[in-house]
Amino acid sequence: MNRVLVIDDSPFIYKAVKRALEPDGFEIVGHAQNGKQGLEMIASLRPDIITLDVTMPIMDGLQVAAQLTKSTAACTIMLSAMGDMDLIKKAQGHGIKHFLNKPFQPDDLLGQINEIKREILG
Amino acid sequence: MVKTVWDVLTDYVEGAFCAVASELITADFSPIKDVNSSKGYRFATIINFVGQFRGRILVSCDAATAAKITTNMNFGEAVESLEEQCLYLAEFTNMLGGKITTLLNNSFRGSELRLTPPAMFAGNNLEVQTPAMRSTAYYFEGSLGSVTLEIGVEGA
Repeated sequence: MNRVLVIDDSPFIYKAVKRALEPDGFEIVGHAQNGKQGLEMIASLRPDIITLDVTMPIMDGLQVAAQLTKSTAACTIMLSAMGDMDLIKKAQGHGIKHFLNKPFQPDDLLGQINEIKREILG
Repeated sequence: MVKTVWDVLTDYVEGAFCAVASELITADFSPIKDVNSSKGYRFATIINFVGQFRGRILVSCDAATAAKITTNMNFGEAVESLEEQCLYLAEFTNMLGGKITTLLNNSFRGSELRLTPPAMFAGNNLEVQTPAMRSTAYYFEGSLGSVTLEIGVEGA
């Protein structure tokens, strides 16, 4: 439960996620810079946790979310600069339960992941 | 009284900018009336929002300010490549755009505004115009330098 894939077009976010999670034993297994690449990396890297941006070129986060339930059992945290009610509702419709607004603090991300772990362990 | 998009932006934009600067780069910026110059090497990032109406968010600053902002974003390490500096500044603008469009979407339900991926520019004496769109410029100054934010909205 510690392999993380970052799907985000920003090198800054990749670095921020890495800095937030690696000290706590998480392995960042990949960085996809658009949704299409993200789906390919999900298939090949089989991450446990995915951080998913919304605004990305080629394929955005909502389009990825729509395909996620078919392609992976990984838990997804939507990590977005946007957090309006309509967006959250759409993402929830695709099975996304966890949201974190950018900018975020390392503890916020760790908190979300710990929540996911608690849900899985019951 | 029913608030317009411009009323909401006027109430919120300066605070949103200062909040993102504080949270993301731990820098204090304050609104000022104008900046002295747009000469020299400058960076600009543009993010559009599209939905029931559309608009543009333009953030620009000089090279020295860009270097300080990106260094702060990069946890104190200088961002050397021009391309990466542009990408970091684009993420700054994306987060600001996210805050603004979230507020607009929540204030005007059904707007369905979404951000587009950013466009980035850098060059000498760079000036970017927002034609055919009502726009307002906001200026900020702080320990990292000065930043100009321009927002244009069409069809609101």
